[in-house]
Amino acid sequence: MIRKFTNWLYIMIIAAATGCVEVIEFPVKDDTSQIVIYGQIADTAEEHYLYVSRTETHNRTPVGITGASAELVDSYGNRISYIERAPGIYVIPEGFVGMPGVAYHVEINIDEQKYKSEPETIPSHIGQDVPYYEVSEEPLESLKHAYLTYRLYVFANTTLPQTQDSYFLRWDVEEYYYWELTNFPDIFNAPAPDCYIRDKVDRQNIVLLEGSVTNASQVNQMLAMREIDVSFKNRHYMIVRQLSTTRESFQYWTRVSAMTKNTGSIFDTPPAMIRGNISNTSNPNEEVLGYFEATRVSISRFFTVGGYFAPLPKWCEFDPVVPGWDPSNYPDECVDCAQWETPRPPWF
Amino acid sequence: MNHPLRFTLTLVFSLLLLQALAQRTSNTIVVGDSIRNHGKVFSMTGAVTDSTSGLPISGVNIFANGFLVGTSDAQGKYFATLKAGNYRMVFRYITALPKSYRISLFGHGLLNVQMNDKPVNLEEVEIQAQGAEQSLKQANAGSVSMNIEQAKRLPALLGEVDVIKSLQTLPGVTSVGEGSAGVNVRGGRTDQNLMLMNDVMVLSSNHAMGFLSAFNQDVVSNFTLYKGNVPSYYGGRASATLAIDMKKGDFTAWGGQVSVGTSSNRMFVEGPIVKDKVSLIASGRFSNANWLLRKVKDPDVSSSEINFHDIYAAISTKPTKQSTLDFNILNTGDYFRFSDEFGYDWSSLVTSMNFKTILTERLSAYVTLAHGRFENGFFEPSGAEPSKLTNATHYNQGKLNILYTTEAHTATTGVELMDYRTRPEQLRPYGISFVKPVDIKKDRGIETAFYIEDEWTPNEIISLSAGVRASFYSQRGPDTVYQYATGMPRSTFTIQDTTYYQKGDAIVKYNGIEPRLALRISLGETRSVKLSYSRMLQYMHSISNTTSPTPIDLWQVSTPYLSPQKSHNFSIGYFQNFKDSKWVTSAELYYRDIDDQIEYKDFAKLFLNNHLETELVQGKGRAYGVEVFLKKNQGNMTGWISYTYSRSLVLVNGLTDDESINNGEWFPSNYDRPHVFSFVMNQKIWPNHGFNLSFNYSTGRPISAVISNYNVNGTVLPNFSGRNEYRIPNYMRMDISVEVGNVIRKLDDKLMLGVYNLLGRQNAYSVYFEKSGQSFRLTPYKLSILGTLLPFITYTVTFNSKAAKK
Repeated sequence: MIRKFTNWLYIMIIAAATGCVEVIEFPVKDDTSQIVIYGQIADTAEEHYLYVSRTETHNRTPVGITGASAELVDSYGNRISYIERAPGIYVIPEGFVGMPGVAYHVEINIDEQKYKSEPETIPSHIGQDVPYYEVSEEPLESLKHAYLTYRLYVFANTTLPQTQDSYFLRWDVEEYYYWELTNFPDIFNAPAPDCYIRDKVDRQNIVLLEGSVTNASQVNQMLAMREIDVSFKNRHYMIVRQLSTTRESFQYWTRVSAMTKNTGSIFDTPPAMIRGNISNTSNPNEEVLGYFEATRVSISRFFTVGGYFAPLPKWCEFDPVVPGWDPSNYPDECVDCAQWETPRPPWF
Repeated sequence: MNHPLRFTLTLVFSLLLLQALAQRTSNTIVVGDSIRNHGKVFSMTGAVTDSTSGLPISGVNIFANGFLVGTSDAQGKYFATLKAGNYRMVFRYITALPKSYRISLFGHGLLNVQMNDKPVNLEEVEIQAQGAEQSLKQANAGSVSMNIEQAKRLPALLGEVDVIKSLQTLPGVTSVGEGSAGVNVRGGRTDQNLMLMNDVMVLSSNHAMGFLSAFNQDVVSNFTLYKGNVPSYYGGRASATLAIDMKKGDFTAWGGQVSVGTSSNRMFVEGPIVKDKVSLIASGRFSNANWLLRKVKDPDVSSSEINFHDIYAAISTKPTKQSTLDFNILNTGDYFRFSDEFGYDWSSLVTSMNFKTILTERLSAYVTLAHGRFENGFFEPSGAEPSKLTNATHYNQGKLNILYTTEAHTATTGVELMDYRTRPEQLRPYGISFVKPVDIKKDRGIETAFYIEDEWTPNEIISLSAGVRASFYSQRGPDTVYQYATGMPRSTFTIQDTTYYQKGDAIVKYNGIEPRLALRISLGETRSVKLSYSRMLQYMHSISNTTSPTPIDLWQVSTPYLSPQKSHNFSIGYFQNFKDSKWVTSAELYYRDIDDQIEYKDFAKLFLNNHLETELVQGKGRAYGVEVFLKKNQGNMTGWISYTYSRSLVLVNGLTDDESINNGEWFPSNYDRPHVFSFVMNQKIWPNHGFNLSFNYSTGRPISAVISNYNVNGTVLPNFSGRNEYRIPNYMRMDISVEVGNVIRKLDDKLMLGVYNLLGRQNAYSVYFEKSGQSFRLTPYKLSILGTLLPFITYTVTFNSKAAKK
């Protein structure tokens, strides 16, 4: 009797202590849209991107702005123009390498409005990463059933810059993998086309380190987490990009991190608009979102093969039972890679 | 028989007769000459003491022919002014049997009264949040008192009776939500409330991140919240004062109590060390919530730990018949660790000595010396750099208070000294770590205040309380003060010079005159109108930019760049009682204006910062509202209904956008909740049981909401509205509890069963915006931390009920 009562009691308390989270309708005022500019110039020979978009009302996805003209300007007055690759995506082609110690800013013209970023100098110091991964098998519970999930955690052992100067580091993790499209029977026995996909991993998790807070010469930290799915069936690269940034950029990303971790709790930092380093020189009162940063980059990578560490579901495999072998009966990602495809990098 | 012997026997017999008459209602005490003094006004005075312990009893209401004519003070002394005539005088106190006398008053009289405890169970104690007549007669508007026995009847989270949470059922008192530490009084910040335990300042006193307060119900006697006009003998905060009186140990018999509950166990003991001379009271409360965590399957939760405790002990002595000397100590501590990811610990220690003495029939004095310390830490055992951040505030307090009473005046004067010593903020490695140790020196401030106050009651119609507090503050070295470019926003980029101050150097001085006025005008026997005004200065501030105070908040004294917060408080109230004070009603309007209210720049960096002024901005605060209160005092069913409409707004308009908030326009504070409704009901059930119900409804607190989103380097970012432009959904909760007395016949015990959040309503604790799956939109989520009904049970056994229930 007492035991039953105790069990009931703690079940009730646990249920209450667990609390609940639910999606709610939260109407907001239809505000005017704002310009968003984000770009990065680095000391690598990769393409250097500049994204120009405009926020949409009702919390919809921002829309890329076409027809803008943009230039990268260095502290010597040299100018390089960006090329519009797609709506809202502007690029300086491969080959240009930013120089440490040189300051850069961007100037953008949109509908006769001139936008300009504050100059940023590419830092001199950067560390070196030795990335590795761990796989974890974790139980997840829903109201109806329990199941296992597999997660790949990306770590890095980082040798920090040996300097008395201040330095500010941030890490991005990207993935590159081969995506196997469905191999439909073909009279010419032609295989499905290759498909390589590049994406950011754990993009809401921002890892930052300020050199002044540590005496260590090395740190070890978890950088990102990726659910293991069928994309791990073939060779799957994880690319760790260590970015050495300016103090101002570091502060900006610290604020970004605070906002992405904000849960609205009464113990949270109150949220606010994040001010970047871009302004409208024609209209200084305009609030422009985003940031243009100059960084030094150190890249390291590893890959996994075949998903041997976790059972993978069958996906996009040809099924002779499907009537007519009709590709339209297959999910889009099994048939066409066009919207995700990126060129195969030379090291793949 | 010779004359001396006859005289002596006559005198002794007369005194015995007078004593006997004084204890009986049926006979009449005659004072003075009824023929010569007809029509004149005389005073009745004396002291009210506990017949068992001999201790003075404060708060005893004295009635003459049914009308309240006085109340005993902290020394048990009372004063009543009456026209010559015949009276039936009754002395009433919540836990004592009433004493009544028939008095023919035709001269100034002295009547000392000893009161006996009520031989009743707890369930028979009447609900008297505030003496019904007191609300009419006292000059001070906007003060509410609550006896701990009343607080015990309110259904409480996990069955833990809570002084602070109990106040939230009264008008004008709110909080930002479940589990928030502290309360907001009439639209003020939590740090604008002065919290006193036996007249000694307590800086922080919460358990379990704010879900519980650290004042153990077993040793709390009663508590008074001054919402509007704070008497001049209290100061140092801009909004309100909460004065908590702790019990003294019994001087005649040992007793105790043991309680077992769902989240903590409690025990206390009290009794005489030297009978009638020295007594002891000691209590302890220790958490037992970890078993709940162990039951959770989530490994992070089950490997977490939460512990808290509070210990209170007091030794009371009576060196002479006219004086008492008490020593008190309160220690509270908390430890909370989530898995191996992060944790908090914080503790508070308050020690004090109080000496009270009656110097003459009209003059009494008390002296308080105290030392307190509040220390806290935040630690991260894992991650790249395991570390622990600590900060602390120590303080010394001294106060001399002198009370002088006459027929029409109760005058108080005194001096108070506060010595604030904030300790260095420290970052240290935690375990094996390469974190660089950091020490940020903090500041010292000394606040001295002189005060005088007089409550003048020339007749039954008018009572005027007028006082003034003169406060003087100086910040003392050692310290480093930065000079910033004139006309530029304060930031690390605009530092132009640095000044070093040696130990003891005066860095900056502030002072102010704080008038306090309260006027009561009676409109007949059952109605009164009250007006009050007070100005208050605050030199010590809690630095926190979260919506609710956190356990690791910094306390910061005023500096050259952090001016004292200054408030002007106005209120007017109408009070009316019905049916012999069975029903009490009131309506109060208030307005508060605050200068130099502290706010924070967006993304302010408050920790490990030796130039906090670059992160803070000071603006204006404004709060106003109307409070309506209806209470039933007597009968088997008692309780109250309260409704408050109020606003609390802030204006920060600095030199630049960086130093302005919401473009320099008024915006709602974090605790602006316009509509608050509360209903409390207590039903006695024969013979010693009870049923209690409470209901709360309030407008949701303000938040900043996402108005659009954008993408930066793959990260989806929310674009937030101006500060506090939106609100979380409204809050509603109903709680019930049932008291069952004498569960086991041979024991003096009590079982309290109840359900918190009976309706199982999923009240919003917060609303946050998060990226959902592969979508680039940010979805609004509502988080409810107490999303269902929550039962509780507490079983209490009392040993020697006479002592323990005192």
